[in-house]
Amino acid sequence: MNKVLFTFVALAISASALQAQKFFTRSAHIDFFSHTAMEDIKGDNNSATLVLDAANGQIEISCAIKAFEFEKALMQEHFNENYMESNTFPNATFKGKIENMSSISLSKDGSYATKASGTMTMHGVDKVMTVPVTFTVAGGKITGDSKFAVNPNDFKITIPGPVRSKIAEAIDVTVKANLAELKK
Amino acid sequence: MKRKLIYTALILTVLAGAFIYYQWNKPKRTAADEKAVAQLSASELFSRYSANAAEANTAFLDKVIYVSGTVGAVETSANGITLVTLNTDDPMAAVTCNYSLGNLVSATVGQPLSVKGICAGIQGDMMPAVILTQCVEERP
Repeated sequence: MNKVLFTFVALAISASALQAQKFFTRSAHIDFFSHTAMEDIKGDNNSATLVLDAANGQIEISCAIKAFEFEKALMQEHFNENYMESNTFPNATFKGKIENMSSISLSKDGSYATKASGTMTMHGVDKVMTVPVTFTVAGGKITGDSKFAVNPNDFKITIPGPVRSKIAEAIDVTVKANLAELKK
Repeated sequence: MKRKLIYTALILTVLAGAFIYYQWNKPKRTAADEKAVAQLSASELFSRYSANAAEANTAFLDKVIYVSGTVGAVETSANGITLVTLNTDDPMAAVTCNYSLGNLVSATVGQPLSVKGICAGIQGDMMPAVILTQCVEERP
């Protein structure tokens, strides 16, 4: 009986130790997509940083605005100079917490759908947001996915009259990250 | 007189059209075409940002810089783009190089690498990274 208890306790401790880990990537992919009848605009960022503390569910996603790439050089210019004013506000960050992190085991294969609640800071504006997040664990690989909509008005991103119809009111943002353990 | 006016208007329209066409289709900026305004190690670059991000942005943001360091990781984003991470003195901080032009010749973890790229500033608090875009390899 003692042996069973000991084994159980040992397993429980090692399981929680496994959970008390940080995961990260410096190559998270963020894209945003604006669809209107006139034009589709898509920007891609391949160097976003994502850090997840599995011990408490704390999550941080950060990206440089000037690292978003577009099909046309002119689109990138407008995006940076007119809409995002990236010389003044060079990055966008989300800092929040994953709901129910303790019930997610990143060492076990499976798909875990949850939410992240926190603050998105972009164009100098802080906005409290909750976004859906799915962690998928398969064959030792962990990926994090999120898809949500952003309204430029919420971040005081003003789109001038003539091109207003070219930019959608709700911009679709997709985040995809392949996570690795942070080894100390 | 009227003819001259019509011709002038026509020429101006053609010029305007050509200008708009050029603007719409202008080539993307790459680090390959420009001379670096500064040359420093990955550690130095992070130090500058860590000490005073505003000052570092004035010096480097949107400019082509030449950075050397030791390769910490070579990754591929979900979009298929190669990212090379250069280590800094701070184990939590790095310089991330975007090889969106796909012209990475060779990068081996633990080996030195010299990169010319456009600085996009610093991101993140928990694990800060200075970002370089449109990177090309360059021998010192």
